[in-house]
Amino acid sequence: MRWIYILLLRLHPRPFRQRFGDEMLGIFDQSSEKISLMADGFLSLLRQRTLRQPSFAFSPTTAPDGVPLFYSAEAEIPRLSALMRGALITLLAFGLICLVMSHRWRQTYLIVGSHHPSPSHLLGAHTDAQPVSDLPAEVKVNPYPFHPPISPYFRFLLVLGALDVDQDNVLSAEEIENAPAALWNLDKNHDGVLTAEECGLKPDPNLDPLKLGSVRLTFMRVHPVLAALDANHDGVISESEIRNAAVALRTLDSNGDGKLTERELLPDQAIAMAAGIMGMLDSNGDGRITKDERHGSFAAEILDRADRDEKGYVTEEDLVIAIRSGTSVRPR
Amino acid sequence: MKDDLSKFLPLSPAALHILLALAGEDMHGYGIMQEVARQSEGAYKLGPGTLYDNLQRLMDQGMVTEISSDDPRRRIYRLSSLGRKVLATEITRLEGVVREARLHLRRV
Repeated sequence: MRWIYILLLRLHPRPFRQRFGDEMLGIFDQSSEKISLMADGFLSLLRQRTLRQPSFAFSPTTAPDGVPLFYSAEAEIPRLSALMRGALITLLAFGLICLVMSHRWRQTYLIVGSHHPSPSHLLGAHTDAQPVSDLPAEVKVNPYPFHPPISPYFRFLLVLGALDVDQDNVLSAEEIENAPAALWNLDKNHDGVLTAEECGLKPDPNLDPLKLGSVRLTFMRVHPVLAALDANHDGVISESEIRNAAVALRTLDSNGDGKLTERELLPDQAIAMAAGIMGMLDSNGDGRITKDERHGSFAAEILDRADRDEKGYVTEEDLVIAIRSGTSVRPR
Repeated sequence: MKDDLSKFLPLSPAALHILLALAGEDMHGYGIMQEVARQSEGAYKLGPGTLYDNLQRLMDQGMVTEISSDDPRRRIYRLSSLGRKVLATEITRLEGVVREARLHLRRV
């Protein structure tokens, strides 16, 4: 019993313990009413810890010349052990509150948490209770975080999907800076270069191998982001071009705001359409569509308009001009 | 001066008994406990926790002082002049309370 009483004394504030601890223990040793003294010691501990203000062993005094003297209260700074105990108690209390808040307790009268599993939610609510429609209280919550749907273009072009890490359809300055690392993830065969297929091209498996090369080049040329990355326009993004990706991407930042929006990344519609027609009709891949290469009435109107000077063939540049002159498609 | 003393009043039962015990002579803690028990004929017993908690407050307020002793485990406590005045004022107050109580009880 004596050690319990000593423990109680040790839990008293240090100034009190140092001043009266020995006397209290001496009285405890002499007394035969150990139980009542134990209760008295416990009450004393509660009083000292809750009601009594810390007493400072000094008070400001005034020197003879009238200038006040000041003392440091360093001796009253909480001890490290006290701070550790406080931290432990705080953590235990926090854990207990979290446990109570996140678990069902017999009946589901109160649930604090979320049914939606999400890393942004601190507490998950484990319950099979069905939501009720007649809640007796009004609950106001912040709207669920809004994530814009991923743009079809960003989904189609694997390069953009890899670069846009946060999937907000905008390449931020940070994402542009980290472009090389993101692009390396697309190099599935680890050959150090990104081919058109690795960038998002899905060619027809029955396509003539000779034509496939032209399709790849067109694909890499039409999409501004690929054209910027493939600086030498050889149809692949090489290792050195990947390392230089951030610089290349910044050239697309037409408004100079440091980020790239979908508007800055989308290909010019006229150029894309011209490239599509060229890819389909230029069967020998010489960059010209001759009359022999025409297939019936496909794009006949555009081809006729493009060949106004009747030279007998149409280039991609002719097609772009014809498309822009005959439709509402304007340069970006 | 009376206004200065009023801030200490009324005294708690423990503080009153401690001051009463020290009014006769200087005492150490255990002696105060025994004297309180004797004065109240065993009806009121102070534990060491209650005793020293009150002694600490009384010393902070200047009503009790500690005097040097040969045995560091047995400190001697003395009633100061302020403590004596406070005790006297409290007794006067209690006398008034008792007088009023007797007056009212007689009517019942």
